Amino acid sequence: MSDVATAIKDFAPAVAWVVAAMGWLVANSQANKREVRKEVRGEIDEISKLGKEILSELKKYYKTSVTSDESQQTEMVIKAHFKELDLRFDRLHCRQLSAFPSGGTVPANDAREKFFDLATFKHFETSSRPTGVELSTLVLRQTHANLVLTEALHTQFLQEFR
Amino acid sequence: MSQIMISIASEYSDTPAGRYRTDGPFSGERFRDEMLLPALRENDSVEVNLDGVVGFGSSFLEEAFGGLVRAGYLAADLKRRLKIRTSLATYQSRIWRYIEDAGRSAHQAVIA
Repeated sequence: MSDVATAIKDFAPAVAWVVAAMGWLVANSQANKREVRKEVRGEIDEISKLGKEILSELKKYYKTSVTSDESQQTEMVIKAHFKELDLRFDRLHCRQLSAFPSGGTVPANDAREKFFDLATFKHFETSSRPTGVELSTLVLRQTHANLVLTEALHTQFLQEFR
Repeated sequence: MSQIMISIASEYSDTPAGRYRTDGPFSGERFRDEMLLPALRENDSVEVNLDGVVGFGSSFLEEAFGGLVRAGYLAADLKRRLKIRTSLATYQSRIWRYIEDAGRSAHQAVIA
């Protein structure tokens, strides 16, 4: 009995240290995960906000006259917003999260490319503006593409952090 | 083996815009015809630097790079000879997508 007591007395401080260290490691890893989750959520929220701003600028753009300064300024704003959106996407990819791979096709990447093409492919920076049914169909498609993009990002977020 | 580097921002414009010449002075068509095609004709390898530009619309990128296929270059040949340098990885994959899409369209046109 006295041997056991001696052993406990001898090893207790070491065991206490190991338990404390393990506790710290677990807490630290959970805090890191929470922090990454918060940052990714923030990035996704910013991308969603940018998408809405792009849609609003596009609607403004279609109302501008072809040769006006406002038209060129709006084009520039739209391109700068898309560049920021791309930068934020690249930042998500740099995190090396399995739901946000840098290569290959994932729903959010496809949705972003579709949104980009719908916004800047046909009438953008040209001397033509869509009107009537063509305009409403285009705006509807752009809005839908942005919605799909946001949804895809949220789905990938849930896959990563569920 | 000759190699040339083209910086769009410093040698063409930091605000390139539009697809055709009629769309503006710094269009994709003009960039392709006056800078990319001569560079590809005269050099084995061409590196295009995209950094420093405010942003690109797909109309500019598609006409400038996808247009190379319509001008007679094969996508596989471009893969070997054309290098895209950019700090934004997205632009690189986007340009290759336009080149491959243009290649597919050309192929389908031949079959039809």
